[in-house]
Amino acid sequence: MRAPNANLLVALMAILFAFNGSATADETQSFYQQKCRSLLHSAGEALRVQGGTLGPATLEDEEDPEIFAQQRLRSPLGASDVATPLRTEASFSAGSENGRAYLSLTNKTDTMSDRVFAIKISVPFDKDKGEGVFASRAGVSGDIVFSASTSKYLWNLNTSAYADKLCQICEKNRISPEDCYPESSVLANLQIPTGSREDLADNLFGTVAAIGWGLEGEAARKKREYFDTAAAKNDEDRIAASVSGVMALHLRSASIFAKLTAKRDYKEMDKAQRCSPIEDTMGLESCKQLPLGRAKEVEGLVASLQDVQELGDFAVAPTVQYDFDETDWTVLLPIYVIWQPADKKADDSPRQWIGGLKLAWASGENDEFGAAIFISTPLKW
Amino acid sequence: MPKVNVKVEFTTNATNRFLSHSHGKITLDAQGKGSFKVEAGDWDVLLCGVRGPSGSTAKITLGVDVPYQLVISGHPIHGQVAQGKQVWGTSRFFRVLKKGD
Repeated sequence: MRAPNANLLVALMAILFAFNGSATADETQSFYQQKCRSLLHSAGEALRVQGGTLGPATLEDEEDPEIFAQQRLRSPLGASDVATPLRTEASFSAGSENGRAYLSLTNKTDTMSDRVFAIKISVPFDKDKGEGVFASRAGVSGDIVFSASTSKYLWNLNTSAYADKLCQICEKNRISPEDCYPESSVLANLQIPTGSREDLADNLFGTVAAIGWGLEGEAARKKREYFDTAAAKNDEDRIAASVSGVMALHLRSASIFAKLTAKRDYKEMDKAQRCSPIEDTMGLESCKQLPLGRAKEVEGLVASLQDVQELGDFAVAPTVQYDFDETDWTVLLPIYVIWQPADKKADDSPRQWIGGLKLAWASGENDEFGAAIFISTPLKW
Repeated sequence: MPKVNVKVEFTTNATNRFLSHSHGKITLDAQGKGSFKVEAGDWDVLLCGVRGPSGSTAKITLGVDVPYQLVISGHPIHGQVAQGKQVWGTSRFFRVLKKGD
């Protein structure tokens, strides 16, 4: 017995669908001539105007400071992890992480908000007392970090090309509108050239599928003690600050992050020791070590470019950084081969890349080539 | 024709997602739930997608209250970011009819 051809199948399905609220042949023809492209175009334009969502707009920041001299490239404290989202339009949260207590305010409604503005204040967290003191009668805490970030994310859908191709195929083959979508089994039964169905779905996105940009700023006050040249103990609390601008281009199979960071930080001087005799003892001394002199002000302007992509069973995140003040380059090539499920309880969880081999080269005073095995915070997308 | 409220739920483990129909972007709450209105009997389209590491999944479910019914195929919509890709997206034409029409 000969297999029925595709047109006959489509006709039979159209008859069946007519008893199930589906479009008649006339309705179908009218749909493709008048509505198919315009509906898709309008849905795409809605996103272009109103945006989509933004993930973390930050460069990978795991460290191997001794080997790769990356420390100078980082903010005093990372400003990228600002605020834990709660479930209100503007949420307020508090907690502790990395030895610091924090208060944060964010307008994120969930983890996928298209515009994010967040501020965060943190102070050292006293584990023994279970508290972090932001202010007391003596004034605002001496060691305090204030950070703020804002970001925006826009999808770049190519709905015109997608609509043209999808509507053309469906109209030509008289497919009922509700069966006109890339994964449709009705389309699968048609003699569409190999790869075209995959191309169809890919056409929905432009070469750059989405773009994101953000600004991060941070000011940190820290009390620093030191000896002056008369061996007297002094302290100061000048404010370190950093400002970063981030741009992300999300391609169909890779993400490119560009980041420019300007910062002013303070580097403590070499330590000196002052000893004084202990009363009622024979020749015993009590000694104290502190930096000799006020911390040295260090300014920096660093540009970074990073590409993040998965290549089958591994992922790479090559990064080039340039320090304008030191006029030196750093090139990093982390190759991720170790991963864990992003959600350990879910069977279908995507991979979260956490470790592998890192190759690096730094020019200037730190001119060296290095290789290291690393385990880090998960690779960010 | 009356406007009918369509409830939608979008669950995903990806990094970013989008969801819109022909009259605008569909706003979702923290649980990925939202709603929008369509005119009964009129064709509309749902445009949805995600960005994230390969293997990221998405599920989009629509619902209407009686006496209306959805005319849509391939529903709930399931999607997954393919190996070597970072995005997945699709569309569905659909309409809402009153039962018995």
